[in-house]
Amino acid sequence: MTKRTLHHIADTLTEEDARLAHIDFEDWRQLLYRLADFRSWNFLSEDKYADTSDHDLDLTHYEAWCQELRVHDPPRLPGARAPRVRFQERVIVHAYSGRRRQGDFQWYLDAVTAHKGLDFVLVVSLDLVIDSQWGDIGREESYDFWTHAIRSGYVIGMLGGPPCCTWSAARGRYLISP
Amino acid sequence: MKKQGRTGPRPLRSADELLAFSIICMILLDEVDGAGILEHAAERSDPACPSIWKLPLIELLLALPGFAKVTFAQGLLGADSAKSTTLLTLNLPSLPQHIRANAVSKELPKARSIGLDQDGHYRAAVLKEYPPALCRAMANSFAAFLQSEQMPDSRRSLPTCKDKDRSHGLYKFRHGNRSGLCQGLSDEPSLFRSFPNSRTQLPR
Repeated sequence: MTKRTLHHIADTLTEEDARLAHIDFEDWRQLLYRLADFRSWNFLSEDKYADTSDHDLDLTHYEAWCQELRVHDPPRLPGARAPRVRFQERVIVHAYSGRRRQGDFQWYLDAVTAHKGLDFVLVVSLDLVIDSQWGDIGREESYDFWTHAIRSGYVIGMLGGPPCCTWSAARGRYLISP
Repeated sequence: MKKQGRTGPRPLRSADELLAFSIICMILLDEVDGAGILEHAAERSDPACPSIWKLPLIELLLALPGFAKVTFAQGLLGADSAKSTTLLTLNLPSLPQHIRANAVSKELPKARSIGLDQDGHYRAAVLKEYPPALCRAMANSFAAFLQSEQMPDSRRSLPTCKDKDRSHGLYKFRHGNRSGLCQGLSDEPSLFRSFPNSRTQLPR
């Protein structure tokens, strides 16, 4: 499309246009034809992506990146968001919920939304003990499913408490000063 | 890190993965103006102890609008021990008030959840479940978020069992091992309404 546009401009260019622009008529036409040639645009033919290096995979690289970003102003203006149009059903997920029980998060959210007249709020308690397939975040399919559900606006809220220090490999360990 | 020399339950190998998933979900929710809570143990007073709250990524998120950090003791909401806890919250500004309003104790419990009980179970195991008062506070906070939103569009429904969209994992969810789940529900059952636990009978 760009090529055809440039050729059209070159073909319809007149001597009068060139005089008004103070550019030589023939130079201008040749310039337009050159620009219409993809070989004039280096970035279309050169691969600018470098191979992944060990440095790119190093966690400290990303930590330094986060620290650098943090000291700068937030990239977005606070409080200037446009209202979202949601789906009729609004889904809230409780990740790593454990077994369902009276008085759990879903139990209360179901009750409070019914009390407040908030219709079509669906609460999903997500855990391996509830569903070994879709509650297993370690499965690539499950991981993709839930992240896709958030990106698509199906899921608009989540509560998650990943295993804390008691169950973590970090338990009983100290940081070594750099 | 160097080891401190304590013993306890076998660590979960997938803990890092689960934490990463939670953080990624919080970031994705921010992109769609959603709400979220990431709960984790509060940072300990010893600066040498590792904590997710020291991660540069968490600190970066806290610098963004909408994110906040709330630290409190679950003991004031009915937990067996003090259990100092921190929440990373997204678009839930009323949560601190709900936590305060749902406190069931004026003083922190004296008990400590360390070691094994009489039956040989780890005392910390019971702390995995949030006390009901905390669940209520968080539920009220999410309800306030839902109320603050523009009314959802009644013409836009979530994908249903009848949808034939094969472009993402939803199709597999509907037509894979769980193909029978959609039967017997309403005329246009939503995908998430068919999720099994939403129809689970609660134990007494």
